[in-house]
Amino acid sequence: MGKKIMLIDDEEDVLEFLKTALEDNGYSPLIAGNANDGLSIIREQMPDLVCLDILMPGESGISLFQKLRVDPDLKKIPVILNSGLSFSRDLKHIDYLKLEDGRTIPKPDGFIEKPVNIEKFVDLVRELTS
Amino acid sequence: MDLKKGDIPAEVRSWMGKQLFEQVPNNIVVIDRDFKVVIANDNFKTVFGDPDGRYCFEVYKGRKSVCEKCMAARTFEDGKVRVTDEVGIDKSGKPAHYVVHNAPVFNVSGEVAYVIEMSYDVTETRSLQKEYNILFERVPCYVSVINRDLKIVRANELLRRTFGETTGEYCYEVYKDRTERCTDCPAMKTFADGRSYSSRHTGVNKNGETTHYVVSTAPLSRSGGEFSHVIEMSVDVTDVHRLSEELEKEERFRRILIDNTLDALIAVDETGKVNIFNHAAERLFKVSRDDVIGKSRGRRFAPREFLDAMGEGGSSLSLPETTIKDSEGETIPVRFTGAVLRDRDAVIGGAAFFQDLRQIKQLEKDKLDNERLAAVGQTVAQLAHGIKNILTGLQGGMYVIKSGQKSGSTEKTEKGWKMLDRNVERITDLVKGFLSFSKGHTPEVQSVDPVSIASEVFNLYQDAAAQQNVTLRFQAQDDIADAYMDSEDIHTCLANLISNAIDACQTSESDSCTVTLSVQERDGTIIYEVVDTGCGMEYDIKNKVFTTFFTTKGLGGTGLGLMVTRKIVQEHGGRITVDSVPGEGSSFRIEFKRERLPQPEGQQKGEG
Repeated sequence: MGKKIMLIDDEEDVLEFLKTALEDNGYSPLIAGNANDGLSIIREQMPDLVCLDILMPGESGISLFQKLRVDPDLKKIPVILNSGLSFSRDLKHIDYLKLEDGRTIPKPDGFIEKPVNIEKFVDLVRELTS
Repeated sequence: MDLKKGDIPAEVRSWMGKQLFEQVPNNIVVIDRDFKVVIANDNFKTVFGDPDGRYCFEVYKGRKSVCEKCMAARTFEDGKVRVTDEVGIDKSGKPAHYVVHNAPVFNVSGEVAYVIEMSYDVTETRSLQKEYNILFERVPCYVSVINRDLKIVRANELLRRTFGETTGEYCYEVYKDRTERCTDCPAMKTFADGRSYSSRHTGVNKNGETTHYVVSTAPLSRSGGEFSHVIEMSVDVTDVHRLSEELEKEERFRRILIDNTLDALIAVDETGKVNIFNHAAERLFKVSRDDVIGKSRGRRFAPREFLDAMGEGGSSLSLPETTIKDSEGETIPVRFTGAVLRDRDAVIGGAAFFQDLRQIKQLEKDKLDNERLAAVGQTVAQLAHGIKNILTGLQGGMYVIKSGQKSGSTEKTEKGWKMLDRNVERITDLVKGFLSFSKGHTPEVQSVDPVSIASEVFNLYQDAAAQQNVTLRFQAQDDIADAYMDSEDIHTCLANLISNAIDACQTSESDSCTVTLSVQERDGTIIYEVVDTGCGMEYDIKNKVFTTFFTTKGLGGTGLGLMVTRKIVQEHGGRITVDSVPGEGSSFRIEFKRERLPQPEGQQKGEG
């Protein structure tokens, strides 16, 4: 049984894509279409890695990322942020590492930008879970 | 004929006996000891009437008895000659001033039998003296008589009152607080050539304040020849001087103001003659001031509306935007303010200000153009961005097909094909939408009712909202005037916002959501607002909502809705803002400033 990788994205096709690639490489992907469902599965399954889309209806990936980072049980799980947004251009203006209560959280362990370079993604997953 | 010294020629003696009495330029009357007139000469009769048989006191003073201090009575007693001043009454009853000589006429026994009274009228001289004295003392300027040493010999009342007792002091000490005489002393000039001089001088008054005088000097000659004194008259013109200086300053200031203001300024008198036409007016109208100053050309420059308003008795008019024509016939947009100056009902002149709006108009247009260009630029960037999701879907489809082929799984291969199909469809939709969005569309504006557009959209979405269990509300201010808008475009905007709001309610955890569409006008700005109590947006999403070609609706949206909305709003010169609290709802606000709305014709021409 391979390592459990949690995939959260509102795009079905993206989930299918990443899921297939991970399965092909011997991982056990878990999938969720929104942040809320994702969080429940994470608590239940304690995956080895979370790959999180940023823009989702309802709770955003950023918000879920912050929750994971401050949760004593979940903060150790590596997180990859995955988005159609450009991390270098769009995200640098959002101070998402600083919480409202002033605490600063560690940055994500990795980024992947859409469209996804699937080899790089798999390499990144391997690196973060080894 | 030889005459010894002391002899009087017989002819003269005869003249003295007969004619002297009548021809001497005095009034002569002879009275006896009873003060009765014995004889009087013609001069006397001319003044006092015929005194024959009357008493002298009757004749002179209209009295019934002898005067208390009768000089003649004393001469009758002591035989001495007396000279006195007397005030009497002439035959017409007017007071007359006399110098009277009383001389005794002795009889053979040496007694004074008669007294001869010889008098001459000094009424005129006396009153002249008095007048001159009053003039000297009371004239409202400083008058002094100064001698050749420039010392004051006599000073008038004002001089005494202002400078105190100055007799014996040097005039330059008094007037100017100097220790030596002035270089341009007018008194010295008068002493030198006997002529009068007048000039301006600056001195110091007794309080030490600078005082300006106009000084006149004139020789005081007793007999027309030699003179030893000069009369110096000084008028304190400090106030006048100050006023004229202030006036000059004011005038200079006014000039500078008028000539340097960027607004064109034209003023006319009551006949319409132009008396002010500043540089800015020359530039604006391309007319030289020399061609209009002093000429009745005021009406040529005033806007029609102003002339009409003034004709109806108005006194001022402000036109935020009107046009004038310059001398070359070019129409120029200006902001105009005009005022008619009235004294009660009579027009006494008018003034008009024109602010050239060409530059402002150009800047406004540039700004709008820039905003539109920026929107196009963003659109291109956002298109690429929006395609990323679809591209990822296509990539995914291909990967899944390959993976299925490798592992021989038909199920996977089919899944992959479906992914490809779906994303090709999505990109088709996107491209179609994008084409219609990017078509060089310019709003086709007409004067429309901003409220009825909103109300149509409200009606359209009522059913959809009800099906989704969302309460849709509509609030409208009822006195909003028509405005130039493309009603279809605005309809699209509001429909997008409401559709988004209903979706936001769907995603919300709450099961009783409300969407409120409102329209109102504040200070010339038409405001549409769509407020929902739906899921709200995180800060990071809210920031990207207009600037990113994104959708959070998964396969259900193209991400074009808000972009289209923003584009339309911008094309109408308006702006759109969003406020959102996660879990509480969002509020989208579109503001259209009336003055920035497109005009139905003209303004759009350049953009083809």
